[in-house]
Amino acid sequence: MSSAAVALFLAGAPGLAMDLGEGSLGVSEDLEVRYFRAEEPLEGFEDQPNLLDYMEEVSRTNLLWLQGPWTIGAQVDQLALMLNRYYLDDVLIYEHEPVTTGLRSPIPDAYVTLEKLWVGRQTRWGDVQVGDGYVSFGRGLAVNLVRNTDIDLDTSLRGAQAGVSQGDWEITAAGGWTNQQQVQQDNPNYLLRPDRQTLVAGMRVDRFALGPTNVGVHSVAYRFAREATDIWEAPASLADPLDMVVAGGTLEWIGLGGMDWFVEGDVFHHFNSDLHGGDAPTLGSALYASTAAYLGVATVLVEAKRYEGTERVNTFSSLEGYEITSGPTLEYERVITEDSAAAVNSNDIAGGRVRVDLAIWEKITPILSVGVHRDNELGGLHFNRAPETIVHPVVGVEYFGDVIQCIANGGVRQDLRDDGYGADVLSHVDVAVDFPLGPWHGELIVDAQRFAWGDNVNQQSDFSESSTALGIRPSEAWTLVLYNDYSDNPLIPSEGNLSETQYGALELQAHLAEATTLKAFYGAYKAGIRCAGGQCRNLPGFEGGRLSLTTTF
Amino acid sequence: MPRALLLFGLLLGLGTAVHAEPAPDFQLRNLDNQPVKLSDYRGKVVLLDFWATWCGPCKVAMPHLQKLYTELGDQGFVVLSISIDEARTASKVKPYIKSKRYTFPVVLDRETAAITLYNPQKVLPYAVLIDREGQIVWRHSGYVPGDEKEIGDKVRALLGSSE
Repeated sequence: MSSAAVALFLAGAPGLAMDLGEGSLGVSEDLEVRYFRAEEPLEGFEDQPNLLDYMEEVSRTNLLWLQGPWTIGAQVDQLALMLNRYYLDDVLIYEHEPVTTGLRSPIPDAYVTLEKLWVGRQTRWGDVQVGDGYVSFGRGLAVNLVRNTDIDLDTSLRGAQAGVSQGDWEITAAGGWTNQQQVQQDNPNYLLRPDRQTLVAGMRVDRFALGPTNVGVHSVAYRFAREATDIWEAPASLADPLDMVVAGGTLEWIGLGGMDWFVEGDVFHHFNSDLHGGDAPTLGSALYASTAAYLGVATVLVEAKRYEGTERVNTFSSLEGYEITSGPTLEYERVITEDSAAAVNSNDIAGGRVRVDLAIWEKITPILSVGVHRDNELGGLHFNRAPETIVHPVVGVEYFGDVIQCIANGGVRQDLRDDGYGADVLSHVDVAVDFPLGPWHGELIVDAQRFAWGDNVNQQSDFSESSTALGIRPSEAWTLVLYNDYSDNPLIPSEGNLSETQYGALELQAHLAEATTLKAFYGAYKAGIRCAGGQCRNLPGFEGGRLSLTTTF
Repeated sequence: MPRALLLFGLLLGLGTAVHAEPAPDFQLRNLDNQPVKLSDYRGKVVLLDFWATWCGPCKVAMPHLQKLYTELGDQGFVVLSISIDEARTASKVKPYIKSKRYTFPVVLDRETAAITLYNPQKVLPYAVLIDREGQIVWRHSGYVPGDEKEIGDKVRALLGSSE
């Protein structure tokens, strides 16, 4: 029987229940095969236009074993590159190396790793976990190590955690070293690097229900890794001096005066000149506050912040593409156009935002939001040459009708420079509509932005970008999605497949079973900054084909 | 390539497996910071609805879940809404729920503790239906209008009620 026939047989086979006695094993699998089409042929080999094309297969397997109070979880990532070699003047060339010399890969053109592993136990006092875990305190200003799979970020804390919960008291302690995922699920994988294992140790104590008040205090210590090391070398960093300690607290009042209140204050002490830059102050501070009022049809959310010398904590982790802490930006994510969150979370910024949701009608909610910030940081990654005042009004609407549903918003953000050289101006519109398409279902998602940089010599030409996705769902089993991207950004590191500025793609999604989806994609999409959950990454464009399978069983 | 096909086929076969499994318990805090355990709802039919304030399809689904909760709540059905907004956007969750007048219980999964147990790929929206005995009987990723009918049918079947 051929492999294909075996595959078809298995696909039609009856379900495989797993009888594991008292325990249960959950498995989920993401498998993706991609064909990368090179934009330009190799110089001198124009007669072989596909010479630089190659394939990549990426697998992520999550395993979860549950038995009584015990939980054991694992994530196995695997990568293989194919069509990755060619001969040039009789010399075998590897177009893409999957890993750098710092990572071991016994198989050429492939890599497999036990990326995450943890063992947890519930006790009558709380939970204990050893291995990979996630931790955030307060609003994420002191530490915020969480998964952000939407932009392929997953940095866990490899060590131990314990949470004790007794009555109205809760104590959380966590310590270990950062473990960044190597294999990317949505992005090209080559020259994967080993971890820089940053030491993180922290504790938080909460006292809930002091009347309407909840109180919490926390502290976190950091020792940042300057270089990649093997896992067994990490404990040696315990002997090294600390780089930073953050200490802070939170106060929360629920329903006080008919409103909810939250305040967090943190102090950052930088011990190392790598972080405070020698002349810079060794202390940083952060203050964040929010209040929500429920005034009949209007829900009003007011947030305010003052951060000074706090972003230094991300100096080393941002080199690895993630942030180890990330406080609220109070900003709409798509407007983050510069480095990561620094556009709105710099080392010297203060501001606030007011958002009003008006439930005037049952199915329509107009939304108004205005943010005003003052950013005084100059230089570094945050390449302002003068302090700025950032003003950003946004209007939006949510309409959840019986036939059509729509979420839309638009706004204009201006970064007004003090030096008289005008302002950066970003205009943006986002629309998502669900609608009937005859007997079928349709969904249209559009976002468009126009960037104008004023008289900013450090910046580039003005440009526009947009992304459009039209989904058509003839039945529950099938969805067809048409994609179109546009960008006339001269610095974008990708080129359209339809024209220099236009990108087109087609995706067929087959929902094969309750928890199984097969997707086939062909075409191209543009490079650019993508943000999710408050963190942003500069992601490369793509041209080629992709076959992906996601299943849980 | 044949090996990749074989693997695809094997996974497709496994993916069709439908079998009840125990729903792992978890404890999270609700919008008023009170502790809530999944096991608090033992004996009820529970729909876990994973969502976030930045997830459009999640928001589109919520009015339908509220309608179902209003209709079937007194028959032993509960929607346990699990926000995976992380710490930095946690302030937005309660105002959003209150502005929409949703009454189902909402808990915050800021460190992805619960979603890791049920949906490690972190797909949103994601629904898990749990029967009165605490067994997972159905999982569903994504939402398009019309899905609420399937959800309603499955919930009514578990409750033993008809529309």
